[in-house]
Amino acid sequence: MRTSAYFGLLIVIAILALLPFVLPNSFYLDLAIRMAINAVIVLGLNLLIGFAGQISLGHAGFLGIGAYASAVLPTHFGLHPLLAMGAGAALAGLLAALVARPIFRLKGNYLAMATLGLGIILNIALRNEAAWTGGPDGMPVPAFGLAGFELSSDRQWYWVAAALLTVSVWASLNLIDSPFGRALRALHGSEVAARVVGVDVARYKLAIFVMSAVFASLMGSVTAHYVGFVTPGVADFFHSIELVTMVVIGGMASVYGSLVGAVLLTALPQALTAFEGWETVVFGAILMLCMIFLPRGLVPTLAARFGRAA
Amino acid sequence: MLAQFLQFLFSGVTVGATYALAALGFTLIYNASNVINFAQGEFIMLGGMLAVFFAQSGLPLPAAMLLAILIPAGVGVLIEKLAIEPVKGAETVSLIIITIGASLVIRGLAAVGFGKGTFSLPAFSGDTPIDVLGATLMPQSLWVLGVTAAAVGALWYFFNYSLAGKAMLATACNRTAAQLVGIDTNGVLFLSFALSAGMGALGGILIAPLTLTAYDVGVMLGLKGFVAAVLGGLGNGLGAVVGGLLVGLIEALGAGYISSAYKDAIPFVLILLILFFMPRGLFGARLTERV
Amino acid sequence: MPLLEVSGLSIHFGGVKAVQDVSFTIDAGVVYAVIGPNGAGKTTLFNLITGVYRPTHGDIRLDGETIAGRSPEALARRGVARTFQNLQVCMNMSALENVMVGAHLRLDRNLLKAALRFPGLARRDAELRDEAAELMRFVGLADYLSARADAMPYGALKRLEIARALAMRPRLLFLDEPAAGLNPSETLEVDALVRRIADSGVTVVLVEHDMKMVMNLSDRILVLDYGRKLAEGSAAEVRRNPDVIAAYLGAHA
Repeated sequence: MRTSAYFGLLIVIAILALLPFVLPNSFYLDLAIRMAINAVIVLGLNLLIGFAGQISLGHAGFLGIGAYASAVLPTHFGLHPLLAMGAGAALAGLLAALVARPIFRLKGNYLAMATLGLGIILNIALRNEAAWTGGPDGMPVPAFGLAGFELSSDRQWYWVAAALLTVSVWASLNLIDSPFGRALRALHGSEVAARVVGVDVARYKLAIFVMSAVFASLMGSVTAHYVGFVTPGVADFFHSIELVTMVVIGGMASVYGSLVGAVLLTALPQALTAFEGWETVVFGAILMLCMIFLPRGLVPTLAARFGRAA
Repeated sequence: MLAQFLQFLFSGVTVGATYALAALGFTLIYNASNVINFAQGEFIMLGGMLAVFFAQSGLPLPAAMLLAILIPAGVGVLIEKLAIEPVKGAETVSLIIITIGASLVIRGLAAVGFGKGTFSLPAFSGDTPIDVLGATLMPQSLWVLGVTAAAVGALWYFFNYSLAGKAMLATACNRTAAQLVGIDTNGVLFLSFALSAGMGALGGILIAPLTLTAYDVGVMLGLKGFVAAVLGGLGNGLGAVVGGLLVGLIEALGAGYISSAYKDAIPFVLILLILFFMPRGLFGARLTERV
Repeated sequence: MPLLEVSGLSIHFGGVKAVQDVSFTIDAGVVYAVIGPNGAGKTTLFNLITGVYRPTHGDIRLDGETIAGRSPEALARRGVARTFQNLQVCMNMSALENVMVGAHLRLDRNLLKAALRFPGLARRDAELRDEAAELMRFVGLADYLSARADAMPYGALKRLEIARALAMRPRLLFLDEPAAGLNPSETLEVDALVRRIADSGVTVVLVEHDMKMVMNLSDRILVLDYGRKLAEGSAAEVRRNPDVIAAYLGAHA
């Protein structure tokens, strides 16, 4: 299982390396960049939802923290983008720890409520504090530069996103196959069994929640710099749902499922433009059908069918 | 001073009644199936929109209202039959996604069918405000409170004095045991979806004359209903009603005295504080897990 | 000093007194059995001692130190391991990984080192894999070394739980009905397994309905009935005890 899992990483690297040479135009390159960025976010979220079995319905809020930290701090305070990114991640991690600490002693639905609430509050704050955030219209984000070099062309961005994705897949594979990762999966499988072998369940849930929040914030910053503009939509409830959907459709507790989920759902809006006016209906129907007929998600279901571990 | 406070109180309790009905809907379904039905808000929206639609197409108001309750109840049952029953025992996350999918379908269809405009329903008994110590009370508010109280009363009677109601309580308490004594737990599931959808729709109809309605009002109303249900301790019927009224009240007072721009955030701040300090809500039960 | 000392232990669930004023001691190195009719409070007693439940009254001492009310994870650090009557196997993991989780406290649990696959950590994990495989062979699961937990039969899962508990290298091991639901030949194998575990120096506490196995294995036996201690002693003593005979024959006066 382990060698085949890392074999998948080679395939991912190969695809990422070849992709820019076969994509016909900049539209597809842009799509590929957004897919890669989403895939990184979904990997982090899948560690929380799929591996540790905890839900977050407000993850877009953390994304929003990172995105706006990268927009607001350099614009209003002249902070270096890298510092701004770090500040956003720290804030996201802190909020995650604060909100989830008492709740992790309870079951899933309360966590769903708390994360959902946090996301909505953040979204409303971003809309209201127009002096800082530009309100519902959003605000521009300065370009990302480091040591005199500025990230500008889509090509450059593609390689950055591809590198981030490769490292994230590698780190995720490492993590789930480590003492930390096994403890996470064990508390999902049986909380009491995990406790009696010495896993401090509340601490592990907190750690993975904070980690995925920090991850989301960092990628929010990256997205903001790439797009060059942020709007409160990045942090809204629907976006949170979209992220969870990517996890679930690709496959919970499946690293490669995260990639598939992110790729499919990033492409879906493009595909749905054909259903003008009916996008929401079709999107909702796809969600329901996937969950009813492929409850384990695409990759694990297919892997089981073809007799290979995912 | 007093007049202003009373004004906030009236509007808070009125909206709170809608939240209470939504929260009861969450509670009913949660007790029957452990599912948090994220489509609950769409029933509220459907109630209001359908009532407007039937009233505009010339039906008398009572008939329009009845249809606007029965159709969402049917939709609720449909969701249960097609999407919840087939995946019984799935993970919480999967169930949440399914109901969110259902909410998107309903909202999308409403946008296609009714358009994306805002609509209003005429008040049941005129728009002449009643003056109470300097504050104005809309007659519709009395309708909201009265009908909600009647609905809660009927529900209470149903649970305490009817066999079907007791079967639902038994199922909520212990599903396997209920099955063993011959309760049709699928029937209970069916009934709870019908009831909670109807309840949500009723709330939507009652509040529509006061707040206007549109295809997307269900999101916030539903989420606040969820807040109310959690506030009252998930699964507790009385808690849901109290939670709903409290959420409405605190939202109105907060919007009035603190910040109207953050009106929609207030229930969520409230619930985060509650979860932080009382992780099981106001009336949540302490459970010992069996292993 | 005894290894485990339980005195006046009680727990009430609402009005139900599941365990009432139970006292006993367990010396290091013995096999100790807890028996009694269904509902006598055996599993509840296990849950109390292993920290899953918090006692209403009474004290539990391990090596003289009070452990009553401590969390299961704190007890795990003190060398207390257990299995469950209703299987608690992580079905989302492979059989081998289930056993590896048992070694949790002996490993470097650092998140960052894990994500970056520090060489030391990876090496330790590879060693652990071998250790876990060895434990699976020890409990008789050699055929399931590469199995997924959710593809294993009931009897094998029971043993998998024992292997996981052994991976903790416990001093005190609680086995909750290790032979329940097993066929006679599997029961014999578990019987021999418990013997081997005890011989390796682990103190074993056993809840079991199979009387042949209990009488055969146990150095001392505690009999519970309706949450109370009915008798305690060696197998021979317990067998002769009139109260025990009455309780088991149902002639409860």
